Amino acid sequence: MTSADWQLQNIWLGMGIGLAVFGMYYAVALYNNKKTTNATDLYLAGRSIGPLVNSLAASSTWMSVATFLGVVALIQQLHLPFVYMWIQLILSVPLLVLLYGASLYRMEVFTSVHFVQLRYGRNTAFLAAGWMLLIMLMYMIGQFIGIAKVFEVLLGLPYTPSLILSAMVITGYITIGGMKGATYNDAIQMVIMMIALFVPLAAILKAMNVSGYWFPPLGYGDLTDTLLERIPTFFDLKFEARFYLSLFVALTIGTLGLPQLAQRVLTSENIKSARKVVPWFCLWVGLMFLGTYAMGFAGVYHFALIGQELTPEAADKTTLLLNLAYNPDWVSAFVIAGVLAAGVSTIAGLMIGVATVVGHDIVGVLRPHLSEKKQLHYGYFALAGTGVVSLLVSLNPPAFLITSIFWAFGLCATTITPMVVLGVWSTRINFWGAFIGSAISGALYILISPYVLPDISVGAGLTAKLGFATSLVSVPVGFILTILVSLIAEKLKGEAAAQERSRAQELVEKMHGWAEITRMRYDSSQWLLILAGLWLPILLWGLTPW
Amino acid sequence: MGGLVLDTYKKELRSTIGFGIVYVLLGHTGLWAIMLGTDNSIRVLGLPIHYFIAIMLGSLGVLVWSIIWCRYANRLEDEIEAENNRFNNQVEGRFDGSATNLSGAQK
Repeated sequence: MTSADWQLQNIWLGMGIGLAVFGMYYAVALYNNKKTTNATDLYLAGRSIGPLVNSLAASSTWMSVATFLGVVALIQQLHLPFVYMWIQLILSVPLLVLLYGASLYRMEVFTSVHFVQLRYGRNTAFLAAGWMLLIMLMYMIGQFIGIAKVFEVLLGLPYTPSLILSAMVITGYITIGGMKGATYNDAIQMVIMMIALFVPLAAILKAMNVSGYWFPPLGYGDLTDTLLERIPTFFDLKFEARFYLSLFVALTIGTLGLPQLAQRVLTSENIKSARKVVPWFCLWVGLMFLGTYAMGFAGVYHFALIGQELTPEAADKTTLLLNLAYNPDWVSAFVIAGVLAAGVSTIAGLMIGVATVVGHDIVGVLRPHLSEKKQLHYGYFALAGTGVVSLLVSLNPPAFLITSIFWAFGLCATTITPMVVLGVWSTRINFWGAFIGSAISGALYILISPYVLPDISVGAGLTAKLGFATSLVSVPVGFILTILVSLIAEKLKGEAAAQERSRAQELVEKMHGWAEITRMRYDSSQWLLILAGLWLPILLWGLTPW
Repeated sequence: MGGLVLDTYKKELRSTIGFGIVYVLLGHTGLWAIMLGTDNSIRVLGLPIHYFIAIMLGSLGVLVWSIIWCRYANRLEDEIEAENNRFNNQVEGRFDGSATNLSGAQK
């Protein structure tokens, strides 16, 4: 199977759909540009977004190109275990808002880095910023490469011109619209994605003679028997219990720390509105996930039925191949618009996340007395700069940056989540614990991954490459170090530690909404030691050979 | 500080842990399947039951739980606000009392 098999034959159709969707994105961006008057507007949409639009925007930031391309291919490779791997990603926003979203909102911070700066000081904020920029850059480069490949299919251009063209067009509209423009565009893109997934999928299932085609998320049960005849192990669990536990450690804990998702919560008009984002988010993302499994199921069924083995590159294009096989060309072009929407909305969230960390958090620490106008100028510069740097890196990315995004989630679980979540729920976590815990566990995660020192890598094969085996060691180390170093520093640092604890007592009670500072809430070390103790057997299990 | 203040605080801790654990259980049915076993012959809507449970709890289950959590968390927020109002009233009362005493002393 070659690229000609998934190439749109009618280039004018591709150009037409490309111009139509990007014309709309630019119109929305230009309209919102006029409403952007300060840094809060640029980075947080003026904290004015209602739950429905915000949930659509958060969902589309979360839904990447992989929703249409990579996921279906991975279902074909891994079968049921991949579905289990994907399902828990829906927990990201609910757990984020439950564990720290409301607290960050009350503090009126711009990003998780901003929170870290207020909670632990500038040195830990610089460390957190470094990790977050690395994680977001890894995420963004994957999206830029994915979008460039979609432009190849859409316009028939070679890869490099496709990358440059797509990156410039995307950077342009995101820079013009800022967070307001990106939020409304993201919401529109989520609607496009849902239509582009479900309507063609229903047509594909109908063409396959599936009786439940009218409700694609759950209507494909007719295919089960034929599928099991061809692939009897499709619904087997295949991996040991430790693999399924590592999904929680690496992915659930990793994604709840993602800065671009946290920023989405901070754009809400109030805390109750931020909470209402959660059920709506679960509705949209739940539906999309169900649709993705159905598409994966249909893909596996189709290629098992015709007895065709797909190359990894062709497997990535299963959604397009199925549409080209069962639907007319114009439907395929609309599906490509959905893939584009998935990619650009994720890039928008990441670009604004990076720009806020650089333009607001880092510049804000280095030059705290900037005027409102200069802050806005720096913000636009940071947004455009983020796009240009990402483009330049994507042209010839270093190998370590194009490892799987799952690996980046493991890095987030190791370096960011412990310091943020523990910092919100305990006054006993201090600068020493947060800094040393994040720095050492992050370095450990990188060193024992198969990409740096393969000889001392933990785990083997896919579990090591995706960072699951590594996370089972580094995440417990991150939590245990953050807790123990904080408590030891309290004993060793005397007055300095006492002052920091006193400051933390005020800050933590305030961020939970209490007017009266009692210095008694969130101040126990007992539950921290229990938590560290709970992580210990997981660490030992992670250290035993896979 | 009255006992009521700590009651609401403890409620916040307990509910966060409780809601968090249920979320994790709903999203991680792979471990359930390892413990309970799988059987492709038991079907719901034509899909093997362990697969059906996983995709339903991972979407509809999480949605329903989020609605419950959202209502509970907003009610808890109101309780915290009520406590804050009581505290603010006490502070204002103390301030008014000391102001009255002060004006009495001036007389």
